[in-house]
Amino acid sequence: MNAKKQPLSPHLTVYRWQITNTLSILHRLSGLVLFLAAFDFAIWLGSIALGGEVYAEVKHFFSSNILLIIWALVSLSFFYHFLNGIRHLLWDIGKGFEPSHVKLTGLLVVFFSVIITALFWYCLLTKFG
Amino acid sequence: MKVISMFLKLLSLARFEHAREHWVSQRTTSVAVVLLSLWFAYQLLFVLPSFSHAEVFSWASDPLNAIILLLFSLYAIYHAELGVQAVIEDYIATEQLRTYTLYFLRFLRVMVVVISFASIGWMINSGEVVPV
Repeated sequence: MNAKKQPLSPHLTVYRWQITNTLSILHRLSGLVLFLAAFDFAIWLGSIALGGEVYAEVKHFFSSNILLIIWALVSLSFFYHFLNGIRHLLWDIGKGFEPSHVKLTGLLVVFFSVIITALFWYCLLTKFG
Repeated sequence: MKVISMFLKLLSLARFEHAREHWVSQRTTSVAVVLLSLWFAYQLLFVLPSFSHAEVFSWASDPLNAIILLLFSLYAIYHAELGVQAVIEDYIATEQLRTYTLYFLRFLRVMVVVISFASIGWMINSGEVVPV
């Protein structure tokens, strides 16, 4: 590991807040939320394998009110990270670098991540009530 | 050899990646996670009939679904480890603390890998729940 010679990244407070760096920071924050959600996914898989009683307890815990707020946050993080990730992949192949495009795709990502999250929950709640 | 090394990385049995290797893996895993998570969202919305244990179990122990669920879990936590590693390397200045944090991160990932493997492996193999 070449940790010794690496410089420390400037902290968040040095930046002037604008759409580009705000979305970049949100990409990391949503990524961290999804990192935590990956554990819930593993716990869910484990509870399915462990049978009806364990599953019922985990399901009861996962569907408590406070957890539902967290699932809303997780799904919003997911759709945001998903769409913004595609924006990053497009940059990686050299597309969309002009400042006007960066701003436009950024706003589109925010707009559609909210819309898709709402649509997702609408479908989920209609199906499972 | 390339396939074997990719497989070991997916199982969290490889060293931390850096520079170009890290950059490439972050992108390849992202494509995998895009496809697998779309599959999962589709299953939640259009396939899984309910969240009762019987229904979820028969859905998750179907061999094809089980393999895709396992891959989703493995790729998601691999992609997440690469991302969190970058955050740790950016924001933890002390070399020793940074190294310890990275190993803690690896420990967490290994737990997810083991739990996913154990539960999916059990369900495919026996078609029954684990006797507790």
